[in-house]
Amino acid sequence: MAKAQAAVVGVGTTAYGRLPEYDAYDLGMWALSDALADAGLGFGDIDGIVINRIPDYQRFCEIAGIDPQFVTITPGHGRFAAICIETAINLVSSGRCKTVALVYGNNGRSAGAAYGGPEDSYGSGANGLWFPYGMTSPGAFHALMMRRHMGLYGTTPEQIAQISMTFRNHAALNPQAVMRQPFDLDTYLNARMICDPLRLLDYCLINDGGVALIITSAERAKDHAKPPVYLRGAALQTVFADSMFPPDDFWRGAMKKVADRSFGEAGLSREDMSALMIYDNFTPTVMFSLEGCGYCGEGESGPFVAEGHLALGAKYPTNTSGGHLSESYMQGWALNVEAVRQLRGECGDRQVHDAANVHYSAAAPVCSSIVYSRDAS
Amino acid sequence: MTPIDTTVPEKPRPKLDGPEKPFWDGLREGEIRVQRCENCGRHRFPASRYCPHCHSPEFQWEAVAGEGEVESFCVFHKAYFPGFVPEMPYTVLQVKLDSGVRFFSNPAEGEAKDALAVGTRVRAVFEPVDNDLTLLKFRSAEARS
Repeated sequence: MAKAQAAVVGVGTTAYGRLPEYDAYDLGMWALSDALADAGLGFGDIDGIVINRIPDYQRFCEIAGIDPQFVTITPGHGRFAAICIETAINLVSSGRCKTVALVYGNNGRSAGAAYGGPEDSYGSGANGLWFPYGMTSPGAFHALMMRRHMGLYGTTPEQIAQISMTFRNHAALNPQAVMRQPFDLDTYLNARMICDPLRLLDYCLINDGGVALIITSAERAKDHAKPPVYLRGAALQTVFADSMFPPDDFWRGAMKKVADRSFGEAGLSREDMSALMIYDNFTPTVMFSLEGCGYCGEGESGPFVAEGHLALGAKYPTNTSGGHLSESYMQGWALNVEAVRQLRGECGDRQVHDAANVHYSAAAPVCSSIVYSRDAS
Repeated sequence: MTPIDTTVPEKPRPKLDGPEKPFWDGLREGEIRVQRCENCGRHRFPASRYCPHCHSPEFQWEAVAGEGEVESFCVFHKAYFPGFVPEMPYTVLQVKLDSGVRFFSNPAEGEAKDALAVGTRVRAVFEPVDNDLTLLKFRSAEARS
């Protein structure tokens, strides 16, 4: 099997919640400072920076007082967490950069971010073409997908509930999580409908927060403050054709491709995974990822999640931080940090025993899969 | 005493004179007009200058049949647009016409709330909003018009 080319040597997170005193730049700076300290590095060590969701790259670097060789900025879409990580892997494994900082700052809660209504441009947008029919929001897009899944495979709300209940149970063990009170099935079923079949507890939590990662080559990674966490495999696959409408296959085809490519690169299999981090903007996305990555069969994610496989202590502990549904919607970034912290054994009450490999995946118009590992090969 | 404002806020309106103008004109005349690539023959909507399949810029707007199938639906309980508040909760349909073109839409006026499920055959209904705007809605194919 191939040896990993890149590794995460530092991670940083802010508090999550309502932080009106901080704008996106401040949140990015907070997280970046935290990540550099975690890596035993200084701002001057950064020679590449990839910025996500923070409005302006020049202003951010001006505030940070840095002049990296490489800079880029990416739109604040959750799918970009993996795209940014892939970019960093390419930069350090090619030798074009030594130390790449990934910085994400999101003041969506204080700024009143709305994911639906007149400003909505989810996916490929449509210039408001569907607004006269009241169609808007990524939530509705996923509600349409979930309803179709229910129609085709008989998936039930009781099964879907297990996802958000399980993640909330995990969040109860995570001091950083915004929502930590466990709830039962009745509470889930009685939560108000937002876009039927999705209820309040199927939606992620919009908050303020920041996340940063420091990525370097596997070779250099050993010289930092903490043991490296290796990026053993990573893959992206876009699904843009006809993407104004939900994909016929629930993104399964593309998810299978990225899972196969990243596991192949890692020389690991699904059975080797100690934990899963699955992009959970809405509960259905978790089901589509499980099916696409092959953790269960096509259309079988309902019964699969109902069997309890995603809980801490079960076969595939998933979103041990609580994920976007209960920790905070940090658009994939905090899930990648959780993968690193699990592999370092830093997760306290929610620590997965002897975690060796963790799989991050996101089902979206850009599908992604990243295999993190304690060992380089 | 201030009079109580009883006007219902307007629903969002599409851009009638944009790239989809032939589509909106067609709805007013009882037809679903979409682009058809002159090179590869595929239909497409919304409008684009180039065909996403063969990249030809040659196309015509032509009418397609109004029969199709409900791929999915969802029911909005949240008011993203004030104009929809009076009819909440309201249903949005995802319909695929037999020609392969897809639309988001709503059940036609008077359609029973539970008449449309995933897989239901539907046919187009042209619902005038006013003189300028007609919307494309759908009714169960079995229902009488």
